[in-house]
Parts: sequence; C-alpha cells; structure tokens
Amino acid sequence: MGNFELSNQIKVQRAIRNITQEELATQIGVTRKTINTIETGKFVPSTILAIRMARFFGISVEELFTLVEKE
Amino acid sequence: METSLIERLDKLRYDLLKWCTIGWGIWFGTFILKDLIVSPTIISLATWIGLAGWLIFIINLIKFMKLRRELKGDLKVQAALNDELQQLNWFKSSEIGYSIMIAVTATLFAMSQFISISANLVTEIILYFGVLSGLIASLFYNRD
Repeated sequence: MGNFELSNQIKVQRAIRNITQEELATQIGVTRKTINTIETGKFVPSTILAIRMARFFGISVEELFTLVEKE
Repeated sequence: METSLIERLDKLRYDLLKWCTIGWGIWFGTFILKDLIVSPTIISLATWIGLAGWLIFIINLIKFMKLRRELKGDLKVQAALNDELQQLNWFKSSEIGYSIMIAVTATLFAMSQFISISANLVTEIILYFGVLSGLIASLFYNRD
C-alpha cells in the first residue's frame, strides 16, 4: 500500500455546505483535530468514521475518499 | 450538544496534561537530584522547587480526574473526546514511553557493569524518564 495515498473531498464538501471543521466534528461526534488531520491527509480514518462522514455529506465513501496512486 | 463544548473540553484536557507534565518533570526531577547532590543549600532549594512541582502535578491530576468523572454521564461527549485519533495518539505515546523505559533500563544496566549505582536511583530514573517521555509524546501528538 506504500504506492497509494488517500485524498479526500472533505474541504470541498464543507465549503458546499458552508460548515466549519468544528461544526462537522460536532455532527460526526469527534474532535476538530480529528477532522483537521483527516482533511489534511495526516490521519486515515477507520471505515466506520469514513462511512459516517460520507453519510453526513450525502455522498458515497468513494466520492469522499479516493485512493490515488503515487507517481 | 453545544458546538464548542467538545473543543473547550479538549483544550482543557490538553492544558491539564501540559501542567501535569511540567509538575511531574519538576517534582520527580528534583526528587532524583536530591539523591545525587551533597550540598545542603542545593538540597534545600531542590526540596522547595520539588514541592512546587508536586503541587502543580497533584492539583492538575485531581482536576483531570474530576473532569473525567464529570463526563462519565455524557457518553456522546466522552466518545467524541476519546475518538479514534485520540486513541491512536495515546497508543503512540504509551509506545514511546515504554521504548524510552527499555532504553533507559538498558543504558543503566550497561553502566552498572562498570560503576556501582543504587537500585533505588535506578528505579527512580527509569520511572522518571518513562513517564515524562510518555507525557511529552502525548503533548506532541495532541498539539493543535
């Protein structure tokens, strides 16, 4: 899995809904730090958290998270 | 659930952890120092500094435990504060604390082959660096 990295659309989805990281964190039931580290790609969330976030935005997990092959 | 409640509690927890680390560092550090020095003036000074460190440590430890007890009823907030990133950070911090403990033990063991070290001092040094490194690692991983 070393040649792949996880990119996400959280920032875009937040901008569409005009919500802050803190508001999203409260809705999902995690801390703002967790949202921030996921958004910046520093932390890879569990499947459960990824599904919860995708459900919140009303999109599929694969629309929210994409596995990108490193060059 | 208020928007900033988790955020405020998270910040409070971080501050308490920070002061516990400072308190532990001063208190136990001076405690070990007293075993190594002979000057009565420095021992007296170290005792007072150590006392201040002990107070910082104990007061913040009590506050930390009180916060945990207060949150016992609120499962939603509790779950948010102990989310998966937090759990991972605790795990990584404990791992660092444990590794440092092993490294200090090995170093002291190697030193004991050449010089005589009191068993009491060895135990104190291992405990000091093990706990302190775990706490510092926790502060590092949970920083904003």
